[in-house]
Amino acid sequence: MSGYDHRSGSESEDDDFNPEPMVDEDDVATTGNAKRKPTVVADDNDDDEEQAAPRKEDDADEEDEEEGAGDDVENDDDDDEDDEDEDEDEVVARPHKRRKKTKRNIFVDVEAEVDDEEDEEEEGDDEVAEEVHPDDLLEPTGADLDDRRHRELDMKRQVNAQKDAEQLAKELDEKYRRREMQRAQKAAAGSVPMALPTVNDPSIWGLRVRPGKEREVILAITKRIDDLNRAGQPVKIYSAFERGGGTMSGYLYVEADAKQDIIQIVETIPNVFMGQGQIAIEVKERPDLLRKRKRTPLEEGGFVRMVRPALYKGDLAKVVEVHANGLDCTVQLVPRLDYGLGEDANAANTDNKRKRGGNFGRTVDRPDQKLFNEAEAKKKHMKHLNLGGSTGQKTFTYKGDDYQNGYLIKDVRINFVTSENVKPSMEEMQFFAVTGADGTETLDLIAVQAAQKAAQSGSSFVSGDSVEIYDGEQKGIRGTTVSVTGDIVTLKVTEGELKGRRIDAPVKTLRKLFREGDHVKVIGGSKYIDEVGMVTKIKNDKITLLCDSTQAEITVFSKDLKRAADSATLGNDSDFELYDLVQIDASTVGCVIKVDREVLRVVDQNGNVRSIIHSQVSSVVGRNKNAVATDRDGSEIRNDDTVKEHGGEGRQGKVIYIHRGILFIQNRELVENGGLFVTRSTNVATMAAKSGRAQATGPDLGALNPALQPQGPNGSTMPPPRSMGRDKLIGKTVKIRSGPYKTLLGIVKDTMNDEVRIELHTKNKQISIKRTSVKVIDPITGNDMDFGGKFPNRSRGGFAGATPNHNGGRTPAWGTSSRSSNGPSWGTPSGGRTPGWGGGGGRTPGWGGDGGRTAYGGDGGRTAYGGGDGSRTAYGGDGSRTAYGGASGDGSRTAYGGATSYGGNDGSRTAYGGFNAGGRTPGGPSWGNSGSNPKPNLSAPTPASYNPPTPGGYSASTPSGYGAYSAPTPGGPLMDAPTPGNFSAPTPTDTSANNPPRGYGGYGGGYAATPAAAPTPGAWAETPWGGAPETPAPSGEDPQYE
Amino acid sequence: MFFLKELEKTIQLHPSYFGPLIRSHIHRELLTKEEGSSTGKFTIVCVLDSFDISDGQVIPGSGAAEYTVHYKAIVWRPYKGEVMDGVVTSVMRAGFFVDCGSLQAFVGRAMIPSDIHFDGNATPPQWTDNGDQIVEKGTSIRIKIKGLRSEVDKMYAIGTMKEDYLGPLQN
Repeated sequence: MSGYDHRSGSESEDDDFNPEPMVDEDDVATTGNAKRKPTVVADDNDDDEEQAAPRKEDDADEEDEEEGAGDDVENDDDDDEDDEDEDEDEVVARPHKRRKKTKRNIFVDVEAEVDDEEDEEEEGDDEVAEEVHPDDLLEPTGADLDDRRHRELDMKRQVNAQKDAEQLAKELDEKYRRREMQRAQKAAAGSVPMALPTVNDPSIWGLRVRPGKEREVILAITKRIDDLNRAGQPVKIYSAFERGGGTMSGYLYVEADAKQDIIQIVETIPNVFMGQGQIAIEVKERPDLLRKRKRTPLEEGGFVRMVRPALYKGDLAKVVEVHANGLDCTVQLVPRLDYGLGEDANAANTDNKRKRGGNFGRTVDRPDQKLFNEAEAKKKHMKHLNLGGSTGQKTFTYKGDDYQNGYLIKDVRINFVTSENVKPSMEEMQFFAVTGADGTETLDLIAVQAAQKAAQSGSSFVSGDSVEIYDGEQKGIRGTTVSVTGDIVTLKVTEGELKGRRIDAPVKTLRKLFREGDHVKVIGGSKYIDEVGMVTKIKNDKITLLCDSTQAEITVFSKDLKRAADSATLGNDSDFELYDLVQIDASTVGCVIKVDREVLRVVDQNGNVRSIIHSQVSSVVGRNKNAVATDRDGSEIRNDDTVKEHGGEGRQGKVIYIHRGILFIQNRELVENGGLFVTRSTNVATMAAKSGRAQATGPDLGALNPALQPQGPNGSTMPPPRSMGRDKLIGKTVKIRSGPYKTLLGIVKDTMNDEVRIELHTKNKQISIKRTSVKVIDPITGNDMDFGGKFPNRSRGGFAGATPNHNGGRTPAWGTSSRSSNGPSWGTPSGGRTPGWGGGGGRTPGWGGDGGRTAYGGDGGRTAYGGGDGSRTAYGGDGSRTAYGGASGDGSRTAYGGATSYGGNDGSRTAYGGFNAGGRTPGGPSWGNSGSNPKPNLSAPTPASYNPPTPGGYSASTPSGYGAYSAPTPGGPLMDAPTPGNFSAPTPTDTSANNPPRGYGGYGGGYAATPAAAPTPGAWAETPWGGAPETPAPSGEDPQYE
Repeated sequence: MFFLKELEKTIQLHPSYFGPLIRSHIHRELLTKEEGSSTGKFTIVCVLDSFDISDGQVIPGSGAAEYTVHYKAIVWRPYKGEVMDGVVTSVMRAGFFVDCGSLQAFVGRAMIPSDIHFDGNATPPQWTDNGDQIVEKGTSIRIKIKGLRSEVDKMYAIGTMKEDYLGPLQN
């Protein structure tokens, strides 16, 4: 036999053995086969010569690589469907390789028997592959004559028999693995090229067969070879195999020297399509035919996907148990049962058949996933239903399957499930979650998560990790990783003799090194992924850390850890944060105590801890700043207050949320639930209110000074001033402005809040009416009086100070109050009565004497003019002409304008007051009053506010006004003499310079001069204008305008 | 370990505080806000009296004024390996928490000598060696810092009492 060795081709896969039980299956089977072969292959092979003569044995090695023939055959009866796993590779073992049962000798190993039994079970009727331990084979040759050896063996066997199967399997595994490795090393050393097929090796042809019938054909070939062997005829083919389902269904591969050999043996086998020709497989493609896929180990509690039976294909299942033989496992499934609803009652017995049929074909419609329902089952299938289970759990046996807690508990071969790409969806997960009534749901959720996370973890070493080599020659070396290339890590040694050197080491021999107190993050491998914490304990490669978020200690493998930056962030891909208050359903809120990728752990308002999926949370409630609750003593509790439980465990903590009388309280020192607990507000007592602390620390300098904050019950703005004592309105004559009594006069007899009682003049009747609908009038003149209800215009004495207020409204009055051609300007009522001129104010215009002032009162803006004119009349002549026309004098007049305008504006300004005062009095003081330095006062505002309007407003209006006034002005000649002087004097100069002040001065001067005695102006002039030499000077000197 | 450190703080003052008391406002603010606060690296224990307030600058838009205050303070910064005294604040099976001033430290089970074991039945629960060493809530204890973690305004530590001269203090 000129086989070639495939082993080396797939060696790399094999030698990377996996300690998991399921791989044991492979290994055991493989080794078993390997050992078996030599004995069977009659001609030339000896087990131990395997390596020595690799080319001499063909299928033996092939079998090594793939699964043993026996293994494949086991599967046959039910493996007809696609089998994606590695056992796709089929090898037709030559029948003569198998020992007949009769040949079994006494030295058959116990463990071999174990294997055998399994085979028998599974193979059913098939020819049993017998396994003979290689040691057995050796033994008879070496010692068959020696009785002592027999006895030794017996004893050994007894010992072995006492060991349990699992242990044996492990030992076996151990034993042969070592050999495998040795072989692998040898192969790696030199024989690699030899192992690959060459042109000199037998060719492989691909045949077309009926899809799905590949195995049958293989069996037929096996049988035929058997026959040939029995007949003593040479078998010309070396191997035959199929690749199982999937892409290669419908193909069969046969290895032989010549095509004729194949045809000879395959001919007449049903389901082989000889007519379609045979394809020769190219040499370089041959290794690919035997490539097998690695299988990831199954873990108990992990989730897998079903591959078979077809009814459950693709369903999520949970591994309950992986059997010791490594071949079977028990899974938990959500059953798909129709409880016989869809079947014909008369044909109940066909049920099984149909199911079988279903296995092969595509299942048309399978029942929905639903937990087992006893009542449903009883309806039609009472006879199939047995109650079982001695334990507390309810267990049913229904149609031969066990159901526990509604789940189907099923024993399946491990190749019926796949643990790759499980990716359980949340919906599926819920099936496993919802059902556990006793809180098991949580665990399930977390297991699923683990399954999901495990798939996501990336490479475990990153540069900068500090690592230790714990295996191999360089054991004990410590360093930091520099770079990672595939499975090789380059590290820089940090300790010992090699310090500073760079070494390459395989990942396998490295472990991460942490020190107590390191801040680390779990990056994979366990359900604790993404937790961050500080290392508290290190034992070998197991590290215990204290989680930052939960204050709980967890233990993980060092490979799953990474040194964390100084942050405690969990996965940031969640919408929720730790300690968020979330709305779970309409009536339930909860506080998040743990955020995972898929799941939130939440303490709800009843204190129950739940795990919910992100999507189950409707919203984040957030914190209500104004939330208030009362504690058991009736004191107020607000957020951030520290409270203590009364009774119970006496827990205390900081209130982080108040929700309808339920408090969510946090205390970092509690371990459970992330230090969070829930209690009713009536169950706690306040320890320290935050507000109290706030007071202690003083006011917030960033906000309004509380001392300045308006006091009062509602803290609003300043309330309107209250007049104390007798209401001033009482006794006043008023006119009713609106309502049925409109226009009637009356006297206020009494006032209420906002009402007044009025005794009407017209008839003897008192009415109540709104304060706002009356106006105070002068009982004599019938004129309106200003009576804001606030201040009566008591006097003009208050003028200076009070101006703003008093005139505030009236400033325009100055201008607007045409009515006030009299004195409104100056405190209306008194205006008349005041310095004498007032009374006539109204009639003033005529009053030439006062022209200046009149104008004043009269016309705000224009008045000034008038005034100006009055005074300026003289110059008015020219002034008027020019002044407003555009002579240089204008400037002055403009200045005037300035003054004027100030007249307008100034109502509000002290200046006026000053003015008035000036007029009224010696004036000096009032100026003085207005400020310690009147000049700045005046001058400051003036230039800015005054000048600008002047030109515009004035030039336009003046002339007319002028004209208008010019008439009266003449009347005022008496005044004229001084006035112009005053006026003109400043003006011109002003013109060029900053007129306003001076204009003022001039004005003032003029003014003062006008009504009052001569001395006044003088005094006056000096006082304010002390700084302005011109003013007084011009007033005295320079009557002309230019 | 304690240090004398020069620090700087920017204080904003609402316009309503403008007035003759500005300095005292700032002073008070400095003391109440800074003393006892933790930056995540150290805790400010005491602000020394002499400090320097810059000229205020009005912030456009708000009218508030900003003052930069330079001051010296005594600060405390814990170090890995430092031995310090603290008070036990909570005791549980997994270990106990110790308050060392502003630093909260956890002493895990693995960091407690093996002859001291947890007694959950005692009231209050305690760690004890059934001798004179009793660790319960309120016990003064000397520990050594094994690891430090700082958050924005707080520091956490892992401590050990598994070395000589560490453990509950006799008083």
